[in-house]
Formats: sequence, structure tokens, C-alpha cells
Amino acid sequence: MTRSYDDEFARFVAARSRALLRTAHLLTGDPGAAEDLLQIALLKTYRHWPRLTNREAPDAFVRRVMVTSQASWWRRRRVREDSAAVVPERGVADATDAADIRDELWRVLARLPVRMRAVLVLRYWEDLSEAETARVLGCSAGTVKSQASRGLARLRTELTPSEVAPTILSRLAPGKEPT
Amino acid sequence: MSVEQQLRDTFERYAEKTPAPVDAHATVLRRHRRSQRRRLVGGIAVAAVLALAIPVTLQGLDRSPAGIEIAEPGPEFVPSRPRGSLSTDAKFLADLVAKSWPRAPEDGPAAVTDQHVLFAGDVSAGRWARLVARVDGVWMGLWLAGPTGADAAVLTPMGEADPVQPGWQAFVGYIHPRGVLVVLASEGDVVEVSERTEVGADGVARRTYRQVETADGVAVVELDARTSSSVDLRVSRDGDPAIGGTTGGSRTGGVESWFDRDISTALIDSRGTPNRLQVKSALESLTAPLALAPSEVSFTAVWGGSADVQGEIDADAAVVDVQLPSGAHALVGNWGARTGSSEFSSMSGTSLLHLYPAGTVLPTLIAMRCDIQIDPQSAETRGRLVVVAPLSATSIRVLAGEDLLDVVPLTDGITTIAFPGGADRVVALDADGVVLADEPIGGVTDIRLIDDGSIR
Repeated sequence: MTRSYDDEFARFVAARSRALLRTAHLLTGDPGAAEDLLQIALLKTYRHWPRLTNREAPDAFVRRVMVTSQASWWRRRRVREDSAAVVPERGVADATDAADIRDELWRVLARLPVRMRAVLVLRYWEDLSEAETARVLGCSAGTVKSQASRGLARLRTELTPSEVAPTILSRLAPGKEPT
Repeated sequence: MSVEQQLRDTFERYAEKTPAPVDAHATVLRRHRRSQRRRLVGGIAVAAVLALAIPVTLQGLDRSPAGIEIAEPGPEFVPSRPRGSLSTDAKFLADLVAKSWPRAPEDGPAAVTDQHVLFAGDVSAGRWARLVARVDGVWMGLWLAGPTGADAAVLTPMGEADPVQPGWQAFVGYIHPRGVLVVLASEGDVVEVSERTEVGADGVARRTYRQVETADGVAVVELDARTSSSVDLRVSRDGDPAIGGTTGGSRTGGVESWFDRDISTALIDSRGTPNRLQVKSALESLTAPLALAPSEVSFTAVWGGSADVQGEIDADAAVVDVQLPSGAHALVGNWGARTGSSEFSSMSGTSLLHLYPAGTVLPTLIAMRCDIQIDPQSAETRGRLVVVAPLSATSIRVLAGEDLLDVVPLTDGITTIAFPGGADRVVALDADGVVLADEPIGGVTDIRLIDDGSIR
């Protein structure tokens, strides 16, 4: 790669790696995995850089590589869970549990399928349109729409189980910010 | 507040928690140069390996078979024609195409279109097939297996369906617990396999790759079943090292494991109060990725005990010194925490792994950072600094560079404290203030399996 391409790439990484790492964190749910994912994406981006700068925004390319790479190695996490018993599908919150509703939502997000979570991240964090999200994921806008809809439905359902309703719903009530 | 707004708030909050990237540009260039250098010596590629660190490799020990699909972004995926020994059996192929796509009940009915067979054939482990289909508009892939000679209807999934990358498929590989590896590449591709990482007497971990035969772009490789969890795969096309990947795998039930052994007597001389399971976990975390049986190594439990501070968490840690067949040593430290998600659920992680050449005198002061995950659904961790110092040491200084962060008294040369932010070094002193040892804090950065296949 020529010096000018190298310089361009260096500037891009310096300017955008923090934001992209945040997206990777939201995609993976794990800061360590996010770092690995971003580095994979940046390496691929570096190799494609000469062609890439002429045809699409580097940010979009990196996001696309992150999303598509993440699904394939998501299982290889830095820390593994060993479970000798059936783990409840849904966490049972203690009525006195002061955990923030956003932490609860974060935990529910972790249970979503990888691509469904990616749709939510791209739509509600990156603020991409359905069409832009579809381009990143390599699918149709209709699929994005349905995945987003189903993802939000899952969040609503899992955040309002009867056993946690008194606590969670009170935090969801307008004007009551989580503590 | 709507769930959409809650979602935005949550993303905002966790995005804020994201640590700053660590010199991403330099890391990318270093890895790129390594891959280029490997190309010069006839090697292959690449990027997926970057995701591997030893603790991650340990994730390859999940007990289910793992498929791999590594591809560069590019044009729309186009399924190739069927290959394998049954690729001309029209009825069998038609029956495979007609099979219904598996779906978890909670995901509801799937809209499956464009179902294709990429591979169908008999291998030593039975009758296998690889299907791809558009599932809800997304290309997904699935490996099926059944007894040799089985009808298509009998074949069942060997794992979960994986999304096919939107770009062209570099290759698809699958390794079975019995040691059978099938790689679907393209004609002319060079497929290389390394069965295990070996640590030499010099304390450096290396892989040796051998080229395997392909027919019609398909490689069917018989491997030692014991090494199925440690196999690494490389594929190159037209000398392009940009194609490559690595595979996890699964261990067979018959493989000897530390968890099947009684190690009680080996713990008698250990310092602390080691949890046997924790020590076994540390040993397994080293020997399983190296495909070594317990009988091939010897070990000393250096220390084991609680990683708790002030009753905050229910966790243990352990440090073991393992002598490998080459004579090299490995210091391995890990933690295990019982989590709240169920009575029997636990999390574990590797905190320290450092290799030493044969004959090296191991450090008398060991300091490791344990980032203990206490909730499987959250990235939240509790940082602990575990220090195992010489018995004559009575205190440690915890340093960040040249800055003194803390002075901590030791009990029997041991302490566990909440990790002081920025700490990178520990100095052990005796009662007279004489420095006995001075060591950096070991951590996962010491044990990256870098993309040239070496553990440093």
C-alpha cells in the first residue's frame, strides 16, 4: 500500500476507531470481544483501502465487516459460562432489586439472536435507515423491518414478565428515571 | 418511556462505558505485516486468527461441534453446485432440498427459500450434507449428519445454522468430534491443516501446517480425534493469503480430561487452600487447546484460594506451574465465580498464561489481574489483584510505572485486593523493607495467540 493510502488509513483510524469500538461493544456486549472485532474489521478494511475509498464510506465498510464477522465468532468469547443446571430463560428480578432498567434491557439484548441485535444497534444507535441497515447486513429492507419489529417485541415481552412487573414497570413509567 | 427510547438510552450508557481503543492503527499494521511475511514463506492467511487469544481458544472447548465460515465482504453469495460422493444422486439431493429448515420454537415459522445442497457424501464419520438457504431473507448454512447410507430424511443438524457471509464464500469447513474435517473450497485452492499448537523447549508455541489433498475443491481429512479441539485450518486461492480462517471443534467424550482425575495428592504442598475444581480448570485451560493428555504433563499447584474481597463475590482463583513435554513451563492462572443466574451456574476465565523455556527459574513473585465476571448477561466485572509472593515477604508495593499506588501487607506471602486502577507492577518486600522480587502484573496481554501462530 502506498504512503498516501497509509496516511489516509491512519487518519481514518485515529478519527473513527473510538466510535467504531463503541458500536462493536454494542454489537458484542463485551468490551474485550469488541476490541477483537474492531481489529479484525480494521485489518480487512486496510487491505481493501485503495479500492474502498473510491466507492463507499469507510465507516459503512467497517460496520459491515463487523456485523458479518461477529456472527461467525460470537461464540468464542473471552469468558465462558459453565452451567450444570438449566439456567432460567428469563432472569427473575428481586422486588427489591435496585438494578437499573437499562441493565435489565442490556441483559435481554444479550439473549437476542446476533443479527436481530445488530439490526437494533444499527437502527437505534447508528440511526441508520432501514435501507442503510439492509445494505450493511446484506439483506432486504423488509427483513430489517421485521427483525427490528420482532426485536422490539422481544424486549417488551421480556421486560414485562409478571414476576418483575412491579419493579420494572414502575421504572418504565413516564417521568420516573431509573435510579 | 417507550422501549425504543429505553433502547437508545441503554446504548448510550454502554457506549459511554466502552474503553478507549488501544493503538488500533499500530496493531492493524503489525498484523498486516505478519500476514504478508507469512505469504512470502508460502503461508496463507489471516484475519479470523486475529480474534484468537488463548482464553478465546479455550472457548473452542464448547461441547458442540463448530462450523466456520470466513469470507470477505463482496458480491452477493452464490451457492456452488453440489459436491461430494453423493453429488450425482439426484433423488438424494432432491430430498435434501425438500427438507424443512430447523427453527427454534421461539423464533416462529421461517420463510425459507432458495435451499441448495453444497455437499453430500459419505465420510468415515457417516453421511454428511451441507445445505444453504435464504431464511427470512438471510443466507444461512447448516451441516447435517446421519449414519452411512442413511436417507436424506434421517440426516439431522450437527449444530446451529450459521449466517453465510454476504460476500463470496472463501470456504466452509466442519470438524467432527471423531476427527473428520470436511473443507469445501474451490478447485485449485490450497488447503492446509495444523492439528495442534506445540510449545517447544524454547517456550515458543508454533504450529506446523501440512497441505492436504483436495478433489473437486473438497478436502476430507482424517485427524487424530484427540486434536479435534486444536485444529487450525488455512485456505489460499491463487496464492492470495486473504483467504483463511480457523476452526474450533469439539472434544470427544473419550478424551482424557483433568476433570476425570483425582489430583488431591498434588495439592498437598500447594500454598493457600486450592479449590480442586479451580486447579483442574486451570490445567484443562492449558492442555486442552494444546491437545495434551494429563498424563503428558506434570504440574505443581502454586497457590489456590478465594478471589473474594470483603464478601463481595463468591469466586476462587488458582495458579499452576505446568511442565510441558518439551520441558518448557507454563504458569497458568485462572478464576471461577459462582453466579446468581442459577444455583449451579458459574463463570470462569484465564487471567495469566506465560510460557518459559526449559530450565528457566520461574519467578518467585506472581501477580495476576482477574477481571471476574459475576453475571453471564453483563459485561460488568470485578477487578482483583492476586499476588503470590515469597513466604518471607511481608508486604507488596503496587506501582503504576514509577508511581506508588498502594502498600499492602501479606499473609503468608499472599494477598488478594481490589485491582488498583493503572497498576502494572508489584514489588515484594520483607519485614526489613528489603526488596525480594519485582515483577510486572501478568494478564491476558501476555498470552495472545498472534497471527503468526506463536504464543508470546
